[in-house]
Amino acid sequence: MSALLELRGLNVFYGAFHSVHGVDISCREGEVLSLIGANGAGKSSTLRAIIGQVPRVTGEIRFAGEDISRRTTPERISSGIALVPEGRQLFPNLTIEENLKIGGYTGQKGSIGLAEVYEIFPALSERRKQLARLLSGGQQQMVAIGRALMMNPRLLLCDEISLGLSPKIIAEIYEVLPRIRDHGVSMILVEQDIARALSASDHVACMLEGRISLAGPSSEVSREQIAASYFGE
Amino acid sequence: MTGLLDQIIQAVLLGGLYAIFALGLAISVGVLKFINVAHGDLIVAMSFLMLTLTNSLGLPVPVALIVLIPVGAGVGWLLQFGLFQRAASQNELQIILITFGLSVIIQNGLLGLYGADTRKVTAGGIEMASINLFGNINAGVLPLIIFVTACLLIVGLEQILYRTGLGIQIRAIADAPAAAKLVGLRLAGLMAVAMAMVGITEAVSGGLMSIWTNFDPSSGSSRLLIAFEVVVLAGLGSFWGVLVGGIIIALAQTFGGMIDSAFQMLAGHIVFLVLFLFRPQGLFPKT
Amino acid sequence: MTSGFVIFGRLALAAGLICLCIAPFAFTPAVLVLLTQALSMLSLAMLWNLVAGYGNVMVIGQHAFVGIGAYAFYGFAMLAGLHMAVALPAAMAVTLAFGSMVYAMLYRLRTAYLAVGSWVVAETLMLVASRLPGFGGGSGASLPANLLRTFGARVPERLSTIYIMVLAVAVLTFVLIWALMRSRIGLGLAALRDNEEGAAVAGVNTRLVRAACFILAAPMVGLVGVLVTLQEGRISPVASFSMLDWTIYVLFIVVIGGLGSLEGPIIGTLVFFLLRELLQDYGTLYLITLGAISILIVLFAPTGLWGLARRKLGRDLIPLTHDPKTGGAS
Ligand SMILES: Nc1ncnc2c1ncn2[C@@H]1O[C@H](COP(=O)(O)OP(=O)(O)OP(=O)(O)O)[C@@H](O)[C@H]1O
Ligand SMILES: [Mg+2]
Repeated sequence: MSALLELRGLNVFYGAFHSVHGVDISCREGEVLSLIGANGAGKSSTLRAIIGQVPRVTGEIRFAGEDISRRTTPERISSGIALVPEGRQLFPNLTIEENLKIGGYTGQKGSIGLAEVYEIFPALSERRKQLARLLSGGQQQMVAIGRALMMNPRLLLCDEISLGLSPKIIAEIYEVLPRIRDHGVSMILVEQDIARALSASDHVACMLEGRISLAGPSSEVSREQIAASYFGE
Repeated sequence: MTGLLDQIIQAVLLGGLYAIFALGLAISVGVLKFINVAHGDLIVAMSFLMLTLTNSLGLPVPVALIVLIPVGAGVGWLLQFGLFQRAASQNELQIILITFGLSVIIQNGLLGLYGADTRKVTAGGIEMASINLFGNINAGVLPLIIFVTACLLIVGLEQILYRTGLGIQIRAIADAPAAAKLVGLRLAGLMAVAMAMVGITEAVSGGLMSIWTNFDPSSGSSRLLIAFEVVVLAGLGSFWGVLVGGIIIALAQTFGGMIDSAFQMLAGHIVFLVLFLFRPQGLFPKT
Repeated sequence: MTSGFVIFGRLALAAGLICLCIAPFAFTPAVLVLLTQALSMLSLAMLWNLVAGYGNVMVIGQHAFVGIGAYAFYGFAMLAGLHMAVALPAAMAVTLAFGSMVYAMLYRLRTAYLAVGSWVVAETLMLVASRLPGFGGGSGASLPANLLRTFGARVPERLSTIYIMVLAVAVLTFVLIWALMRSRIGLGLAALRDNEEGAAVAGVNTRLVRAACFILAAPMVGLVGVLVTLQEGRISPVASFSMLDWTIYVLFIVVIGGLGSLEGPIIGTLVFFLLRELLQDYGTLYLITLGAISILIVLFAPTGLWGLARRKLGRDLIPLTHDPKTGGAS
């Protein structure tokens, strides 16, 4: 079975700064891949490269068999990739419902609409008219995920969705991931919480200083291996 | 006493025209995040176009007004797409410099095409007509039409920005441009659409102004300053605030003009500066 | 190779300065009048560049201070009957006071608001000036012949005296800005020009530095206003507060020459007067061309003609110790 997303020799540059060095990653249809690594390892840069929001990349980004590395962000989104960005990046002065609708405008039409998002996150449906900036951190994260789901992606990129949230809220958010998967969505999860990343994913890839230092099925890699590749010991 | 009430009603209606001047600027400040120094000159250019349509081509005034609207939208769209968008990667200072150059080009272009004379469009008597409001208070039909147009434009803009998908996207790029890029909104296209909306308000302003007041190629600057004062007074919270701001400036000018005709413009500026000192965030700021 | 050009450039600057110094003896009155205008514009351009280019304060109301200088001078010299030597500094003090007030009022506005806000203030002051009793109302007032005669009995002598004053002010302005740029404030200014947030993070007191630029420039602009009044022999709201002459042209000069450099205003003034001599017969086309050139420059060469040349040369003609790009060239 061929990969849904395949990165071959991906490099990311910010001006003269070389942030991601020749990364190869692949993610199959229906799979959840977790991408872990220390701060500054290049995880967010990799996700932003996939969605087309870094100043300069080289290498190949293949999605559903096609090289998309020359396409614009809106084109990539309408071909089926969605990003839940680091730090949520909501529209603070728009209501929850408007934030969600934005995803509907930029993505594909499909089985997920407002009703489905409200069903997945009932907490949001009670506050449709509330401004996003007045929400709690956990609710904001739900809006960010909901907005990406509204794009009806085949591949969902989640950048540290547990950042700054209480363990209870993190558990709540992670409980809905299997339901998203039921809609046939593949996922790449960037996580700091290694245990959570391993339990939620089929495969894991670890980044160290812009390179992949370890990759394998989540059930097979050991904690020692991860610790070693995480800190480069 | 009725004289005073008459003046106040006139001023309120004039406030409607000022609000239309300012609506476009409010959109460009709120959404596109820059002030187009050529805003007033574009309005005056539309007035001259109105003159050509009615005088040279002989179109009836209402038809000419309707022709003006798509022209305004097209000009706005083209300016944003062809000029301002190219400067978007640079800083605010540079965009101001560009619109400044544009202002000089438009003013002198109009001067070259039409000469320096003061002009006015005649609309077949409607500018003279007035109706009795109550008692012995009358109001001009044209000022009333303009005021109602201002209200309709405000309602229309609010409907577009708050009720349509296009409007939600435009508000989103105004709210958080970085986030808008990450979720795949097409910034350049949406900004051009916003500028086309600004262009429509310029067309309506220019068209109506050409019937109500005199204009010449250098009138743009004073229109820009009025629009600016109204936008700052209003704050960026609501388009209805723009109408209130327009009425305040018009009232100030009217009372100034009652003291001495030379105080008309000065009174508007002074009231603006004083209100601004006490309420820099405007009367209806964004909450 | 490149240093050859730099030396050539410096020699040209020096030769230009020498020419300017001997001009009263070498040129006809017509040329002298042109040079007087050019040097007045140069001073204004350097000052606007200080405020907008270095201080990042985008004002388009600079003409207000030209007008205030002119009117204050007329008030002190004519209405109060003070001697020139008193009236001149007094006029500068008045512009300084106005500069501080205007800045206090506008400083918290963001860029675009401040720009148009300063224009509103200038417009207001112009309207006030046209209503001031004793200043001739809307049509203005002439300086009496006996005052002008203190600058020379006959017209050519008077031209020379005024020319020398204008030259002195231009040189003074240049030296002041140069000294400012070499001082600790200049370090902050250079940082501010290159990256405002970065400068703030690096501990530069950006608010103080910007205020200093704006407030220091005001009395110098007022001084130019006095000199312009002496050249014209009269004050009037329209001419003394002319936005076209004292702001729009100045802005074009700086943008074309190069915003945020010492050389920019000099090159811009040269180009501006060259274009004026070539195109002024074409009326509106002249201003349209200027507008178009400045738009093209902002779009495609935002550092102006000097920025283009500098990329070839690799260093400034006028060395500044604190320029972070050359890291101490003097
Ligand atoms: N916009 C940018 N400009 C310059 N350098 C950047 C930029 N964004 C990221 N970098 C650099 O690229 C490297 C990788 O950053 P990235 O954000 O991808 O790391 P990360 O793995 O997501 O880290 P974290 O866990 O802290 O989010 C870092 O050294 C960072 O400083
Ligand atoms: Mg990250």
